[in-house]
Amino acid sequence: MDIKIYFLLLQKEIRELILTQKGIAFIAIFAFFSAVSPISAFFMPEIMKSISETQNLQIILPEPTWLDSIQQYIKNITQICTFIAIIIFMGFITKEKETGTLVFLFVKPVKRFLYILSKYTAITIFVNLSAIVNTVVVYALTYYLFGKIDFIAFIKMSFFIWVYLIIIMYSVVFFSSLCKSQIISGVFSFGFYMLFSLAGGFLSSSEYLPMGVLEQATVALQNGSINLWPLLSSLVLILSFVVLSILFINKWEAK
Amino acid sequence: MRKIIICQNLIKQYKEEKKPALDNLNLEVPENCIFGFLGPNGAGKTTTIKILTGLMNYNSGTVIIDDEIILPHKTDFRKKIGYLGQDQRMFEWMTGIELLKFTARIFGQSDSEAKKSAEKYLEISGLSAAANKKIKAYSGGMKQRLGIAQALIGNPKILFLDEPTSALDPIGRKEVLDFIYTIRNDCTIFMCTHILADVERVCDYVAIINDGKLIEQNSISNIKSKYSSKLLEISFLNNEDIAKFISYSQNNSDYSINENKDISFRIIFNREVTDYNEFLKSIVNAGIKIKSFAVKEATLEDVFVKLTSK
Repeated sequence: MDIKIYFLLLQKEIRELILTQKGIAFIAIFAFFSAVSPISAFFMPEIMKSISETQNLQIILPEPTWLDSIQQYIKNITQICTFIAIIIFMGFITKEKETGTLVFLFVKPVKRFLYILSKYTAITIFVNLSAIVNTVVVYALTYYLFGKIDFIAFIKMSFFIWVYLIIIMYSVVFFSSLCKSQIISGVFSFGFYMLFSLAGGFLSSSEYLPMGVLEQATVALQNGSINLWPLLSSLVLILSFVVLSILFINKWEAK
Repeated sequence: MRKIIICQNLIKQYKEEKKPALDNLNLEVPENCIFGFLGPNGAGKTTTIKILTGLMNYNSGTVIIDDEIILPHKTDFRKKIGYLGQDQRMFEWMTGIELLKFTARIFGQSDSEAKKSAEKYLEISGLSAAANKKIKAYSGGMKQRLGIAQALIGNPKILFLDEPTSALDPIGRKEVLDFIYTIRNDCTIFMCTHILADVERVCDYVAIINDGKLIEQNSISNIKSKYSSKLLEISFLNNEDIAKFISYSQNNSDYSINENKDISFRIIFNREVTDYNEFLKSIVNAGIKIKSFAVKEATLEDVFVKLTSK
């Protein structure tokens, strides 16, 4: 019975994300910036050259390589795309609290932890779909424009970017389960994102912490030796988000 | 008659407030009736209904629903209840039939059973023609009827309705009350409202609460007969007489007054009265000129005002 309700709730989440176009927007925005990355990397020298000509300056940029394309991709995914994704999903649970649809579900024989699991599963499905689309788009365009790409290094790097996206999106769901309003949930999610992005620079132990996954993405791209500690600590963080969300939602009372 | 809902010494204290929202509330709801739960705004009606449906925790006391003690986060008892909240929002991106099928499947029905149930309740609620319309395109009355239909789909023993008509226009209100009346034999209906005309129209029993305490609980007919011989409608010649009467009544604890229109008052006595002569004489002796008077049967509104006014 529980498993049936879990799949029913999951089906509802997926349909809702498609019909309200949030899930579609999420995948489309990531795909767009993924496609822009190799193109902008490829044309950057020419753009700079045309700018320098109008300004009577001489800017010499080295010939771009497939590595520049992927670096640009990492930058786009972890900055503008993440920023937009937080805005899209900051009301993932809080909006249901605000509008009363959470009451609609919780007054029925629905165990609250199943609701939370369906939310995390739905977000995982959309992150996975997005990751697949991004990977294919970036790989194809980079190969087309630059003529070569290290497939193994690219896949390893994509895995770390996927872990990064899962952490960020799980944090958004977590804060959404914790907070009463979308705005507060958004503020906490942005706060976490900023901390996560900047902490690597000033925390000496970041090589052991989840924020190390982005550094490992770059290491993987250069075929360097991969440190697994950030992955292990990320797993702990991800599980903590899920468990804490369940605890918070079990204490939630309809006002 | 068997009691399907029992609250014993129920206390709910919100952290941010000094006074308890529910202060030793005791309540007994007979099975298979429409039970009106009345109280002024802030009396504790919604708090009670949220505790009864397991949506809110309580500090102390006992809540029994269909012989089962209710604790928050227990889910099994929810198979026995249906609930429509005040201004309840549903998944507006769904169509009416999708929402009812989804609800039926939560109650363990198979896909084909859920489809049949959804069609049945769409018909009962008069929404068959709008089955495939998105809920966001429904009118207020249609949404409320769909809300009641989704609350009924698990064949609940108790249907909780929190202010089901408060946000509706007169036509929507009539539609919803008619719908409630048609389902009265299927389950016990616990209806929380402050619209007394609705209660008089459809309810068999009422409980009145104020400041989180039960003030009165009885059948509507008993409540009205309890107060019927104690109501006098009296009107005065002019504003001067009204002012005199109000001043005269200020120190009197025998009755309470409920202003009716500009120059008339409904007076409810606190004791059994069979002869009003003495009372009328005392007013005339005080120099107040009476234009007319009549002994009236108390309405639920008179009882409500009397019991809830401080």
